Amino acid sequence: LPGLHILAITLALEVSVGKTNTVMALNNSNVLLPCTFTTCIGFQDLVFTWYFNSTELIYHGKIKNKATEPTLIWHNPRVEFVGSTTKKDNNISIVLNGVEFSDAGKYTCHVKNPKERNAQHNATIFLTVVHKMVETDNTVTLIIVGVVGGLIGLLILFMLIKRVVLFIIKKTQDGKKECLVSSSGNDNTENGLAGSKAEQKAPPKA
Amino acid sequence: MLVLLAGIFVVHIATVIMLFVSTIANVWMVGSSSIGTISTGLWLLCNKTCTQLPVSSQDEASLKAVQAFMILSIIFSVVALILFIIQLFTLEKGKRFYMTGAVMLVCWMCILIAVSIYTARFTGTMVYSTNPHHGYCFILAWICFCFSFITGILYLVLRKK
Repeated sequence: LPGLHILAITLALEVSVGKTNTVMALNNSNVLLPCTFTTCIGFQDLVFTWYFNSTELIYHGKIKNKATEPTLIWHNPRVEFVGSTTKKDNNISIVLNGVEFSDAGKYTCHVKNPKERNAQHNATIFLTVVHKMVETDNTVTLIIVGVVGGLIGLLILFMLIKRVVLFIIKKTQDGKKECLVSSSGNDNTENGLAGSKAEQKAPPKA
Repeated sequence: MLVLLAGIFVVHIATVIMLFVSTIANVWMVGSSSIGTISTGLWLLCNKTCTQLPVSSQDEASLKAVQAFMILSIIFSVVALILFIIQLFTLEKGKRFYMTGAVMLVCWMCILIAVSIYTARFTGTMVYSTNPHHGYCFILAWICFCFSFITGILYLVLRKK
């Protein structure tokens, strides 16, 4: 079935460069270009290459199987292999040393697996080289958090003050009521209590 | 009374939607230039493609303030909407929607601050273009300013039936 065949190829071998495909590097530094690949059925004599701007080969390596580390076939002298294929994920990242402004562009990590009928896949990273690293500005976030926090604080303060004031009012009213109740004598303390309860209900409504 | 409350609810939802549109779309000022019409907003400058908004260093703080307060007004109007729905079910009969009205008035204040700063600072001239005039986002923001004030006051005045 041709449909299933195509599905098998698209899902089997996959190359990924991580969450974001843009990397920013400082002039004259060493930058890591990450790349990992995953296979469904394992790999044998896998060939991976790194290209700069789709045409210039900068790294060419071969991996016999999962148990061995990759062997180098050819590399650009400024490129260094820092990946490892014997651990859990197949990492074929490289480090570009001494980054210059002319190194900015598209870097493609390409993988071919003969065990999966020569299935191929690639992923690209866009490298930009800057003079100096600029810290992201977060004044907008600070203003928003400040205002929202301030408002919540004011709300809590307002609620607290309202409770305290109502409590004080209740206490002073209680004091007056106790005087009245005790002066009226021993007759029907239930009435007295009910009366004071009714009086206490009035202030919160107002 | 119930009809009025439903009407205010509809106006409130319209305000929220208009605030979202006004903040997200980049059409606060529109001008014409040699390459066509250029529109600027709070975030980007758009021709056929959009690029970062060029802002002079003295206006940078004002732009950040406008952005922050427009986002705050969106947050508060959505919170007021949720509060209204909650209060609709939990408030006793005859009581007023104090919390919703208060939050809506805070939202009104935020819109006021944002559009005033924008009108004062950014409506004079526009970069790269001649004949600048206000875009629809600016108008929507001022309409939201009126609507949020009206709904806020009405929430404070109406009683739950």
